[in-house]
Amino acid sequence: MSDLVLIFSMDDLRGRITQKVLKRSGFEALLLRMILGAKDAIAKHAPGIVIFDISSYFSEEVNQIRNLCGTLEHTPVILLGDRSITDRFEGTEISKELFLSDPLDPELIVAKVKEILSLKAKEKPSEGDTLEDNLKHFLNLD
Amino acid sequence: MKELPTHTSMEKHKNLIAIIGPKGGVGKTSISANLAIALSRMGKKVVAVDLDLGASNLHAVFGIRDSKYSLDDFVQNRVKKLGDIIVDTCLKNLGIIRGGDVPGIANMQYKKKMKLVRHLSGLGFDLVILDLAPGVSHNVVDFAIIAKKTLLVTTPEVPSLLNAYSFIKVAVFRRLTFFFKYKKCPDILDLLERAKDFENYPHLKTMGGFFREAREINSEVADSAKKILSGITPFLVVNRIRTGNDANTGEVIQGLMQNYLGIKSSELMSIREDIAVEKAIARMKPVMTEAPNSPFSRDIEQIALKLCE
Repeated sequence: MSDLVLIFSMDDLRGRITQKVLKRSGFEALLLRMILGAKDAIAKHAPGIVIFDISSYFSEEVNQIRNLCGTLEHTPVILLGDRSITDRFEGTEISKELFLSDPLDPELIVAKVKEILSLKAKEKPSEGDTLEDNLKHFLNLD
Repeated sequence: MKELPTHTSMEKHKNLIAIIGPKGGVGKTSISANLAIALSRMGKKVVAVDLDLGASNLHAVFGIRDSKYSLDDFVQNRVKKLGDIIVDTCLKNLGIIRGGDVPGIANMQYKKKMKLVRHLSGLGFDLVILDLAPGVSHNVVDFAIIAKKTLLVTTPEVPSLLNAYSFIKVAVFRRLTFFFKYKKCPDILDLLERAKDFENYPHLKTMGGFFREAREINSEVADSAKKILSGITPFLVVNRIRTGNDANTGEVIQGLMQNYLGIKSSELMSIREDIAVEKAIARMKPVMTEAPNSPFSRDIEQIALKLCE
């Protein structure tokens, strides 16, 4: 899985701001608009994170996003939007910490993306020595 | 005449708490500032002192831009009473002393350092929080040794853990050197020198091995030295924890310190990674006042409670 961040937003300004701050922080970020076909796009790009700007979509599309989130077991999702809309995602697998309520906070989005991607990097199975082995080696204790 | 460190001048000062972060950038100053606030809220009269001399920034965490005096003025005898340079933080029970910015002041003579310690300890505060410079210089190590409690701050990354271990190792060797000099035991001092050379003296790799051999030279002195080492009990704090694995790194370093240096840490606590810290720093405000319910603030409160036990 890559470190690409896939952003879905129908609001051009909010979408571009999010994409720009992520790119400025060194992340590859792709902005898409239509929810129709989102599943295929996610399968095609295999992003590290998907961001849905749900306040920019109609109610029916929000339901589609909710259903889609249920199928994204291995892809972390960040939801941007008004608390009243994000509340509709209560009961899904999405952690509450990943509901970023309005107003749009670019700094917080970048921080969350960094946090998620670094966690994923750490969760990869270690290839070789344990931490103790490494420390002993560097400290000349082995 | 230059005053040299002595065994007796290394006695612990009961109201001093040293905050050490051997690797720079581990969050030591943020922890110092916010811990001082947490302790002051518990009713303790606290002063936080920026001893990162030459590169001070504790005042910036409190958003204090202008203050008339800094530690430079005291160290360079422009101000007689240390109490006169305490800056009001506008927070109840809490003052700070700004660090100096004069180049070279970080390499303070031992005599001046001890004078500063005496004055800090005698300020009349319940607790004096010392925010020390990064690195393992003798200046920093000496403050850590004489403080009643020493918080050793690390992050879960290997370079930071290595530096934390190295710091304790330097403190152990320095403390033992003073003691064996005081006891006039040149043979054990030689043995201590050899214990730094793992390649040629692998049996001295652990403090256990060192003390076994030291006892053969002078068992009484060796046993007393061992007792002195049991007084070095750093309070280990792992900052910026994100996962359970991160939290476990503290136990790994704790085990190495105990097995190789014979040092038991008094406590092991962790502080969660928190975006509130970054935001507070950007606003030049302490996290404890800006986001009192944030994970960082709650973890700091737990550490403050543990320090007061």
